Amino acid sequence: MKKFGKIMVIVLALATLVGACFAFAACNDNSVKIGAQQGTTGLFYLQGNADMNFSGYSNISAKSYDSIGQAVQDMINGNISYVVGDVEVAKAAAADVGGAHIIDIPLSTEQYAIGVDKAQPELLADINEVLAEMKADGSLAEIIANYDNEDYEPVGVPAGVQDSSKNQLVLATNAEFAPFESKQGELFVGIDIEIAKRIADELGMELVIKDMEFDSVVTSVGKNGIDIALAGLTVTESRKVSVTFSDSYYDGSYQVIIVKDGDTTFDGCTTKEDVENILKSL
Amino acid sequence: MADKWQLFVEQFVTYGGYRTVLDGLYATIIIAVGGLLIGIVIGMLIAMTKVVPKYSAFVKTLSRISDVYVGFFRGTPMVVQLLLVYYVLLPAMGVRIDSAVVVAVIVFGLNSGAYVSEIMRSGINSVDQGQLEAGRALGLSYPTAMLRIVIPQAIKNIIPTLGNEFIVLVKETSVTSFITVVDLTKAFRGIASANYEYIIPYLMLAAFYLVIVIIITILIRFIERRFAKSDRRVASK
Repeated sequence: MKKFGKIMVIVLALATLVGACFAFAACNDNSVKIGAQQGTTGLFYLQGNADMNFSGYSNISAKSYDSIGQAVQDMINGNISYVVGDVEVAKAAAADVGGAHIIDIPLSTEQYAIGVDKAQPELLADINEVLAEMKADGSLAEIIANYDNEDYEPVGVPAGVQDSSKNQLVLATNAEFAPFESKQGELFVGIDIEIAKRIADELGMELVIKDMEFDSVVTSVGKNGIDIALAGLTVTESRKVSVTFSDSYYDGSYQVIIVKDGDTTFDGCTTKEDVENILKSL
Repeated sequence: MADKWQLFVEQFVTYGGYRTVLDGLYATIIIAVGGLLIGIVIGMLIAMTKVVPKYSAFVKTLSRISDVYVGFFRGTPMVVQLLLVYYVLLPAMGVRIDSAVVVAVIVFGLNSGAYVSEIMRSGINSVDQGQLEAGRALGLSYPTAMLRIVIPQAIKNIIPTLGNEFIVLVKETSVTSFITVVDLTKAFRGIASANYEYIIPYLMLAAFYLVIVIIITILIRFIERRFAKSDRRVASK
């Protein structure tokens, strides 16, 4: 028994030592940390990805967050240096959290489109028709312009209940992505939500909104009755494996960097190359 | 702080966010309670294959199968099991389930069954072997001796651990938003990300879970005391 006690003491001492080493190594991690939302093109951009046609930054460790708001909050708290995100969403998040602003230099060019279930080509054709109509009569531009206006009071859409016996359009989204989709109390608002509502109305279907992790949005399409994904989705090759993309409804999106107010690192930048050179040299 | 509180009240009351929270609360409770009930049934069946003397090949096979089952469900995280069933297994089988809550209840039941089986096995083993032997010596059959003598004492022993499992299940429901369930956590995250204002919603969220768990703890204490009525020992106060 005495021997056993001695062995235990040695094992515990070793474990503490190893633990301390790991903790020390973690504290001494000098690489620059930049945040982005999990599964978004912002994260792909930082890590380097064939879709972004970019090899990423070797000197930067990318941290992923559930929502861009949390990333900005973590930057304000001092845990990461910068955040990368889609321009509209980045602007909204920086303003809402406060104490941060975007460097409005496009790091990429991206188009948003609707991801449609591969097994439903008729639905894809119908959606493209409605989108074409919305572009022609100016209502699409109007919806997007509305969300630029601070006084605009959006009309919320309820989630609805999924029921396969009814003629429903089931939408997968991640409502943590203002101004494209977010919650207003129990209702959903946003550019994507209004587009989806219009499509459902035109097709005579009932809109059902399924709010989930952004990671799950693309994978869920075509499974368990989910028809389309509308979540500020950038058209990428790897997402085309899971869904068919409709025509683009928003092509003004690009990645930008969010910095803390008072951070002057990127002030002299005028082009994408300037920003990337600074990022590489961090 | 005051403006943050105002933002929260606006989302929670004015825009009706409390209704989403109530729905989320309902989902959380349904999943945890449903999961525990299914878990108790499965756990009981598995525990039986474990404690019955292994004379026949049939019992041996059953015991081996339940080993694999327990191994899988204890060896993988709940969220992985949810993702596998919802995004891989169900679509592969061509099954379409409208309500993700149903899927969550089933997965929680299967997962909890693995844990409950071990809880029950240890409960039955905690009853002295002599009790069963005495029953058998008095001429009771094995099932009768088990049901009338061992199991009633075992149940008293496992109530606290079973309560523990229930509390774990309640808290574990926070990962179900991966399969589109709007549970308590997801409901508050919706409110938080409306303004990217996290402090109050997350504090409220923690308070909700805390209150649920405190209520469960009181319930378990109550049940324990009822079971201890005929006992000379006094259950913890």
